Amino acid sequence: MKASLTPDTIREWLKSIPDPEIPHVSVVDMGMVGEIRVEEEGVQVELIPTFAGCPAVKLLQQSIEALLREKGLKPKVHVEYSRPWQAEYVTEAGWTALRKAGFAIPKKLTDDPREMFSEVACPRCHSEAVSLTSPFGPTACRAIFYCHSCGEAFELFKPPL
Amino acid sequence: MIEALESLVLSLADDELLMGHRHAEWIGLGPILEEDIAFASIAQDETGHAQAYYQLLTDLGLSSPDEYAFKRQPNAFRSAHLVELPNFDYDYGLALMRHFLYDAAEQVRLEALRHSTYEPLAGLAERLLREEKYHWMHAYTWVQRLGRSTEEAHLRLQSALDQLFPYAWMLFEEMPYEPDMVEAGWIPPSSDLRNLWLAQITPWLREAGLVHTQPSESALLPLKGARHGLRSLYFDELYAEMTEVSASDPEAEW
Repeated sequence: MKASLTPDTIREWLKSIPDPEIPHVSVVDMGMVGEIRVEEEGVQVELIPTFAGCPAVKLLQQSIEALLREKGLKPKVHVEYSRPWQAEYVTEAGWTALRKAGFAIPKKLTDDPREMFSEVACPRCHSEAVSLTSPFGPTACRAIFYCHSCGEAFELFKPPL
Repeated sequence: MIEALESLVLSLADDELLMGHRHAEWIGLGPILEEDIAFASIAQDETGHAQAYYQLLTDLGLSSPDEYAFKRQPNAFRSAHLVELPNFDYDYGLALMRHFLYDAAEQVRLEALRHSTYEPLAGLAERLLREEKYHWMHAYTWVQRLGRSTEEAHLRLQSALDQLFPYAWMLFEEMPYEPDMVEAGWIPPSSDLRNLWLAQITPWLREAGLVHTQPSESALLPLKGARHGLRSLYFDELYAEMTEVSASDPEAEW
C-alpha cells in the first residue's frame, strides 16, 4: 500500500460516486460512507445504508469496490446494519445538492413523524400551505407532499427517525 | 447457545420476510395509488429488515440470507401464522388491521431489543425502530380515520379485528429455547411483551371505536406451534411463489 494514501484522499475519490436513487448527491455527501481504514492488506470502507431495505446498497458496494480497484487498491466494503444512519451525517454540500434537486428538507429532525411532517415549505414557491399526500414515495427516503399555493406536488427528503 | 440465538433471530426475520411478501401483493391493487406505494414501501422495508436479521446469523458462520430465505424446509421456518395468511379477496380492511396489529407488536419487540445484551441485535433494533416509526404512523392514521368514518368502514375493521386477533395474539407464542434467551438478557419473555402490546393497542383501538376480546383457548389451539416449525395451511403456496425464480436456477449468482 502506498505510504501517502490517507482515508481523506479515498473519501475525496468516492465523491465521484452518486447515490443511485438521488444522483444529484454523492454517496459521501449523503453520509453513507463511514469509517475508512487503510491497512497493509487493503482498504476497508464502511457503508451505512440510509434505510436497511435500500435496494441501492449492493450497487453502491460494487461501485465503490470497482473505483478503488481501478486505483490499484484491494478494497473491501462492509455494509453496516448495526449502527443507524443519521441525517446529521449529510454534509452541507449534501443538503445544498438536495435542495437544488428540488427536495424539501425537514426543518425539524425529531423522532415523532407527525412533527417532522409539520412545518414543511414548498421547494418551489416556499409556501407553507402544504399537505402530506403520503409518507411513502418513489424510494424509502422520500415522502410526497402537495402545495396548495402553487398547485404542484413535491417530495420531502425523509430520513429514518 | 447458538440454537437459542438462531431461534430468536429466525422468529424475528421470518415474520418480516413473509409480512413483506404479503404486503407486496398489494402492488397494483391498492384502493388508491398512495396506498399502493405505501404497502410497496413497507414491504420493501420489511424484506430489508429480514435480510439484516439473517445477516446477524451469517456473521456467526451460519447460512447466508439467501439460503435462509429461499432454501429452507417449511418446518425450519419460525414465522407466526398471522404473516402467512393470504390477502384472500383483497379486503383492504383486513390488510390494514393486520398491518396495525403487526406493526404495534414490532414496536414493542424492537423497543425491548434495543436493550438486548446481545449487542449486534441491540444495534440493529435501534436502526429498525427508526424506520418502523413511519409504518406505525401509517397504520395508526388509517385505523383512526376509517374506524370512525362510515358504518361500512367501521364494520369491516371490526370484523377484521375479530378474525385476526387470535393470530396476532400468537405473535407472542413462546419460542424454542426462550428460557435461555431470557436468562441471557437477549429479550424479555414473550408473555411480558404480549402484555405490553395489549396495553398499547387497547386505548388506540378504543379511540377508533373498535373492541377486541381475549381469544378463547379453542381459537388459539390450531395456531400453536408456529414458532416450533408448524406451518399454516397457506405456507406452501406462498413459499412456492416466493422461491419460484430462485428455484428455476438454484446455482445462479445474483
